[in-house]
Amino acid sequence: MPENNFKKKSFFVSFLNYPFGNISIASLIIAILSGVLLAITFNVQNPLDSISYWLLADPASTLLRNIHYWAAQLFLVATILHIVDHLHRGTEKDVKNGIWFRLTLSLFFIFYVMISGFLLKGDSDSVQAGRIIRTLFEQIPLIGNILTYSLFGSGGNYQIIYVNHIATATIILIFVWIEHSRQLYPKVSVFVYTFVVIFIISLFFSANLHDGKNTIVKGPWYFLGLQEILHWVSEPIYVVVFAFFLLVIFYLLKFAHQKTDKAIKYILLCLGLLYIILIFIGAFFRGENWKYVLPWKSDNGLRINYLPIFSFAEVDTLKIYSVLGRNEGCLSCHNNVKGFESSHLPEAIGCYSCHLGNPYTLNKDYAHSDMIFIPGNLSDANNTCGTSDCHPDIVPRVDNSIMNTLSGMISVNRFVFDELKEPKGLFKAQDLNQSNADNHLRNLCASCHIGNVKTEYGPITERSRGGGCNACHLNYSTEALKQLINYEKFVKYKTHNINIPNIHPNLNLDISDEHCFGCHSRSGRISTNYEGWSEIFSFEDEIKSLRQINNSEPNLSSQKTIVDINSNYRVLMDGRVFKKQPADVHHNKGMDCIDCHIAQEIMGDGNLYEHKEEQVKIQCTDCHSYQSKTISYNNLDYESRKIVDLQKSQRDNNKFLLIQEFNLPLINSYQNNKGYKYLITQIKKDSLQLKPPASICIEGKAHERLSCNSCHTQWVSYCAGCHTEYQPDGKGYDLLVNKEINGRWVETSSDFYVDYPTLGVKKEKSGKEIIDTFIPGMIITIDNMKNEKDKKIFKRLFAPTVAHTINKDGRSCKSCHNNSLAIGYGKGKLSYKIFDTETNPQTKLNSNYDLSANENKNVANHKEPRRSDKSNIFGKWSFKPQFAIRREDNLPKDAWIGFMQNTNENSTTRINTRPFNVDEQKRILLVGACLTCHAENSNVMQESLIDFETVLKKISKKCVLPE
Amino acid sequence: MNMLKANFQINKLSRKEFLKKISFLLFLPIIWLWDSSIKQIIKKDSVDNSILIPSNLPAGVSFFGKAAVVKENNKLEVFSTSCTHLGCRIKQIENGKFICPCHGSEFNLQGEVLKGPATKPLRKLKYELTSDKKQIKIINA
Repeated sequence: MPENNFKKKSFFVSFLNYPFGNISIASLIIAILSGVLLAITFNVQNPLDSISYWLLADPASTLLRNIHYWAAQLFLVATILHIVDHLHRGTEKDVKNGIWFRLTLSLFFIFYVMISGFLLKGDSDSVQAGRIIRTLFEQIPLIGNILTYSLFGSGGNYQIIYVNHIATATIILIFVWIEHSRQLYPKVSVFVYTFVVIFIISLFFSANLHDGKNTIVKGPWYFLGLQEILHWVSEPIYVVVFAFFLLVIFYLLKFAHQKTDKAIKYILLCLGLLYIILIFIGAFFRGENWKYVLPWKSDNGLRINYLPIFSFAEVDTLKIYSVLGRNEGCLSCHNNVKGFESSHLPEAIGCYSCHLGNPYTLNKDYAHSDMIFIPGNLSDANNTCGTSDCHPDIVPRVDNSIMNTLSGMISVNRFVFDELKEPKGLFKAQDLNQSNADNHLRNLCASCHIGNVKTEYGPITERSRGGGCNACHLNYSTEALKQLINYEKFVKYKTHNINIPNIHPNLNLDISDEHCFGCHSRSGRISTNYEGWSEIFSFEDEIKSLRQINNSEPNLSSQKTIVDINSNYRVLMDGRVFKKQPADVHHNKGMDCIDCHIAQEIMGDGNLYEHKEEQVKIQCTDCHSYQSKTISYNNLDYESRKIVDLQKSQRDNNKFLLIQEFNLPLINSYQNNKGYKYLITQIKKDSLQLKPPASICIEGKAHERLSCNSCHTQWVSYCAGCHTEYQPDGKGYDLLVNKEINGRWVETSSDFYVDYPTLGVKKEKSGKEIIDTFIPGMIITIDNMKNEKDKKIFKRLFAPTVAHTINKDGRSCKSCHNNSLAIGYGKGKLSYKIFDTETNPQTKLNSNYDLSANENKNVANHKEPRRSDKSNIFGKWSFKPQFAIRREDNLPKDAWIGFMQNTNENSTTRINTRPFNVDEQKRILLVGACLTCHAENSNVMQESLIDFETVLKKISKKCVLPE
Repeated sequence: MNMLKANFQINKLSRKEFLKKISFLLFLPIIWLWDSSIKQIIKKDSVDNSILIPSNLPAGVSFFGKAAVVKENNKLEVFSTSCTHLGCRIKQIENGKFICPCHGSEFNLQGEVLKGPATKPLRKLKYELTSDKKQIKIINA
């Protein structure tokens, strides 16, 4: 052990015998000389412009800058080691008091000359560092302000820093060097070796020039320890006082006695080592917003660029373009790229704003390093679309949007898996874990969120999922797509000369229904519903031929599925088969999704919502009502005005309609002087007159609780039963992180059928209950779970739906009041029978009413009771389900509730919805009983729409109401 | 005079040594000049720090260099983007929070500190609508 200690000591001592003072002076001379040469081409008015120009087109100046930089770094390191060496030897005792004072003072100027050099880059890091250093110096009592201004000037003005850097601080250091050095000039050999080392490093490595895009802000390496300390210290004055205290201690070393001297030096050594550790932490373990991050998970480190001087491309210096106040090398090669909207023209924002890479080099490889080939994904949107120069307000909104969080999907799924007591709460897809519910979502559903990363070139198709900003705004022109297909062919087959596409896909507001289709053709299937397609499980020959055609052309041009109009079938690119149904009336009028759904509800308004319907702002009555709120162009908010300008949707200074509840403008609508309201379809630019609702919708009390959807939804798709199980041996895919995994969830659903929606009750925020439309959200059996193999779950949950299958006429009275499916009993035979217990207690007096057989009949076919005394005559509804009863809850497989039964709380996917209770069922069927005799358009039924209670009071002797 | 001479003689302080001792007083006028000139230039630099921004802002947070405008429920609040810890410029929000890129301080959209090292809330800036109501003038940004 003693031998080892001796060896260690010997190494330390022999290391300190290196001529650090000589190296320090040699480095200082090299730094001064290279600085003098650099000053010739350096423009202090715009330092960033100077340095970026050197990096792009001036290898000589770049090499000089590298030499200047590396000489300065070596000067700092060698000077510190020189001081450590002399403190170790105790030579400070031999120095005269005045010299020692000036040597102590020079420590400040060493750091000043270093940090001023860093500030003179003028890049993003430097600007932030300048703010910090100014604030720190302003903490100094009495002289803080004048000292700060004298050393660093005001922000944005580099003149004072420059003068101090090249003159004041340098002269002081030279003076101290000459004054204290026993040997004025370094040894020639040391100078040569120092220069050679600096030169070789400078040939390959450049100091980083922060481009302003990278959100990691770091100071120079020697101040990373200070940055780490400042992260923990709330009052910067403590740091200033401590630094001053260290300088004083250093000065007093000369006068300390042996024991004190040794103790102080030991403490200083420990502090120095601790500071080195802090530098290491700051360099490698701190990322964006100074958060702790592992080195391999972030773009951190010492920020040195590998940029060999001999890699400089030969370039016509006249072709260096400047955009957004910075030189950008990308445009020197890519200046012929076309296909953009005016706001995204390369002349306006360059390439780098979106694609990143390295804008400060013309070497192809280095320029393209760390480039984002498909920008706009939410994972990089903060650095691309969402930077403070572009759309900083929108990206955080999209982050919080329900299309990114999937909050509703997560809560409902956890509720189904008994992992939540109620289907409510705020959740984020990114936080999904590996519970049964979350693993199920990750395996089967999690790709449908806007944060899913787009990794392949090409337009948004039926197969697309997510893509961030691209999901809605990416559009390929025919020529752009053609060029891309040729390029893909070249990459794949390498059969012909490569032609790099020069027609760029566009990013604009032409958001077609195809953009929404990929995700919204699943689950609630509103995209397919809207266009008039319902999913089926049929595999007839004609469909198989369509499927083959689809599968034979898996290329970029097949953006849409093939539709066989004659056979009324459609096979999607994912193989699912759909059958033609009546389309939504708005679709038939040429309206796209974005004609109703405004930016604030698609991209979100910044708030987090538990379920999707909470993020939706638009209501049918915003267009179809007699009342309206309007807003003029001048009073529009910034975003809406921008959209109006881009879409050119203003008509003759007319006012825009407002969404009444939220006061948000419908920027594609207007109301003219006569009070007529119009909507302009955003893509096709058709003008459609907006009509007020029919009188039947707004008159009377009978239906005042009904939503528009309740009557005007033509059809919904039912899937009444699904079995889900986990297969641990299957190969699955984690859709959240896009990687293959072991184990998968398999769903087997029953057949689909199309019918009117089931109706139920929804409580609005105001507390008012309305009747709305529902479908089976999940009538599901789950077994063989991932984490609890023996657990089995059966759930019967209906979900509120907005089917997007609106028609103009609305459904018939009987389709609700005499329809078991509408009330919630499921498909079956709903019969109204009249009994006379006096004449024949066992026999029904009347024939029944069969909805399925007589749906279009307006007059019932039974005989009225003849007797005037009806005390023993009564009517009774009965129901015979079409489907078998499930043993789990004794309800038919498609039912929501039992006939004339209340249900438990856990029967819907929302906490504010429920099926009809018994009292409500009786009231519906009471009208249903009337409709068994009275035609829908009869006077009595029309009157009952206005005031049913009054009608009931004057019923004839012939009427028999349900008991 | 005699007494002064006597004192010099008592302390054996020569004229040369006396001048050496009081020579630092020569710095006083220089410091005064230094202080005055810098105060004047600081005064000149801070004549008008107001900035003009459009009044029809989107909901949420908009950044305008030295100022961030928070628009919620049609209510505007303007904050300085200078972090109250060490003056770093805050340029973005994350999960509804202003975050300082330099040392990680976090503030909510009301400017209050959520996480240190900063301890003071973001400085609220005064603003006024221009006469044509199309712009907002942020004062003393």
